[in-house]
Amino acid sequence: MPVNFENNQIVSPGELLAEGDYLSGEGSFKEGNKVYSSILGLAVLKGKVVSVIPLQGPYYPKVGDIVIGKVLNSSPAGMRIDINSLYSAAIFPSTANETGRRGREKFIQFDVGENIIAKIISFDRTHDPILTVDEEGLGKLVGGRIIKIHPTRVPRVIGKKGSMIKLLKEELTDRIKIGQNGLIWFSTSNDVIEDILVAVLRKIEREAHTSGLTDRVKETIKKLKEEKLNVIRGKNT
Amino acid sequence: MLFEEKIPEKLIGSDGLRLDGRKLDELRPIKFEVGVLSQADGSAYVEHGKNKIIAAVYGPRELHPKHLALQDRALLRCLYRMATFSVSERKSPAPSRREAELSMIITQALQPAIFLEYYPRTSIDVYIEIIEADGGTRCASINAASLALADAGIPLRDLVAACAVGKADGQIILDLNDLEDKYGEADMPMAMLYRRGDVTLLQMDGQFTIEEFNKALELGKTGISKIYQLQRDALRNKYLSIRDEVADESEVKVEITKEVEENE
Amino acid sequence: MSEVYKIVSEIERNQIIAKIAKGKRLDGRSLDEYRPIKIETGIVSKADGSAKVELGDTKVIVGVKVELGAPFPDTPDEGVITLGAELLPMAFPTFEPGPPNFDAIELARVVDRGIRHSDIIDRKQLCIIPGKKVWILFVDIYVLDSDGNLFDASSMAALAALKNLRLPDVKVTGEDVELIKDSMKPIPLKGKLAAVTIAKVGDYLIVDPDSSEERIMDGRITVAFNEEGKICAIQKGGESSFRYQEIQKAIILANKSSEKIFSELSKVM
Repeated sequence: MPVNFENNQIVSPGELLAEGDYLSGEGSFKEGNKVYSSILGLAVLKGKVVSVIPLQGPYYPKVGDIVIGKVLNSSPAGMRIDINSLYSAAIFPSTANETGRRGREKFIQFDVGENIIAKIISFDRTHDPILTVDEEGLGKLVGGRIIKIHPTRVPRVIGKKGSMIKLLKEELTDRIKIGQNGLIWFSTSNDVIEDILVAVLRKIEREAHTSGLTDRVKETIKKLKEEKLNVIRGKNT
Repeated sequence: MLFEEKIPEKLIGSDGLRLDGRKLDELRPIKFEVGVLSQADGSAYVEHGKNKIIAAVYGPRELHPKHLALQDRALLRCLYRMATFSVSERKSPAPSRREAELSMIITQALQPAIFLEYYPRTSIDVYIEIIEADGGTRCASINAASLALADAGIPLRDLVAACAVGKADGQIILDLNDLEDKYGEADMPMAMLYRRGDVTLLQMDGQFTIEEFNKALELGKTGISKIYQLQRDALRNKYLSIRDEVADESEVKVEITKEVEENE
Repeated sequence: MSEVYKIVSEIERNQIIAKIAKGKRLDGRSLDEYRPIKIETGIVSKADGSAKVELGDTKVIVGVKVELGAPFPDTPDEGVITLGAELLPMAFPTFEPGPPNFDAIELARVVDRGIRHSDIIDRKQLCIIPGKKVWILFVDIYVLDSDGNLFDASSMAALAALKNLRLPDVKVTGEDVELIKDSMKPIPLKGKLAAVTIAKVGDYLIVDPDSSEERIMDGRITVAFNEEGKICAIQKGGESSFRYQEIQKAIILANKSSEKIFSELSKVM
């Protein structure tokens, strides 16, 4: 049997997606030789793998992910970080840097309430995620603004081969950092650009399950700039 | 209750119809709406006949106090509550034994559907509030809670759909309303993971012969199949409406999935 | 769980304050701008009166149930109005199941004071046999979705639900009270009531705070007005103090916003 859906079709939990020689990927599961959706999302076939791209749901930590967090408590023994996930994360002196090269004396303690951008270096079912900030571009975030979107929709803010984020950087601000956990930090040169960026991020979030998004976002930025800034047409296109 | 309710002499008329005009195997009008609350991770509103119910889901989230945490799976906790004004006689705001029992059986009705093992050491909290009750609140609550779980993005083996069957004036009837529940001869709420054919809730009070029970079980399954389909439509509609809206805005066709895959 | 919400990030706090200093708020409102209000009445047929209010994303339902009962000994010729409030755990991540906590009790009491002292309801009208039989009104507030400013939303919902309340005529014979069927009538209300909450953020005052603003605010003050513009109740809350001049400013600001609430209430009253 061919698959039971068209690519990008919206499916819900328990829906039969495919039968026969298929594998189940993210958002789907197999019973016998049948693949079913486990979540509400967009069904996709890639090779023999049937998956469902989620539209809503928690951020599930993954080693290697860059996340934006908030310091919940801090002591010389370590820090607890809220990463907008079902598990909170930790930074220990021994793991503050990935290799442990610099050791304990280099451990920088952040204050409670400070925001950081960090990388997940370890996580499994039995242990909470552990973070490091010892890499280029990681560490404390200062100033700017943070907004939260559905973590499942972060891939659309990045876009195909980074096309969306490239667009946002070129048109609005290059000071933007995206956490895979749904938190986006940015700083803009003025309030009008800030308003446009927020409106655009909300649009991407809301329309994450639609096609042609990058082009529509491009149009929206152009329109908003003309409205708000009186920018001459074609300046950045 | 200011005025005593009149006890109906018959629940099924000579025309074979029930007091609210329904056929024996007919469901009440049902309306599902998904994503109705701003703070909850998932939510749903259900109108089932005159029942008005809201269900909300928080989680999976860190569980406090920690000693309740399960090392191999998430802890599911459902809380069923009725507003004081949801029933004829004002309900005391204090939790009742009935609410405690229903909270437990609703938890048990939903639990088999959820991949709890994906999220060890966390909790999934389901809060159900009955705004107005008109018979069959536990089933309508399960229908709402199941939608709220799906809306929260929690992985499920299947949607859980529920409906009551019963007996009135000697006839097997589907989806009892308040009067049929009170004055009928039997009431049997049931819930299923319909696709799998798993029954996750079954209660009964009243009297059935074994033949009647079998007939009721079959009728209940038919009702559940219809509700199950309505649930799917409600979930899809939440996102389809936005898609339709932007389809008007732009004709450009780009593969969403490629974008998502390539930056993973 | 709760520490995640209690600890406000510096950037989050600063972004709200920086905007406010420029006369704007994160959701685009100006400092004295109220969110959209939507009021529906008669939404629960089993209640004797009911209303739902949406204030931005905040959603509150109020239902009224009536009973015949004995008056309080010190007010033998007055009916009784009992106000309760529940902050449902579905409404906000940190709201927990259980008996009403301090926040819920404060909410019920502030709404109660506004209604009581605005003289909207003449409790004597709710008396049937002095000292023996009066109407007892149970007004129950349920917060379903909490995006800030529960005081104002709940006051509006309580008032709209009371306006929606229907009571039957009664026939009194000696000490017997007979309720007459099909004679349900609204109770006369004298005017309206508007509770307006002002939050203090640093040196600024803002109207109708949402939940993100409530997390960073230094204090709040709720002022209830009747339609003549008289102040009927005040509640200052929060951990820090208001300066003398700020109080005066807050009253003027609240009074201005009360007009919007009155006009929304007029649509259903």
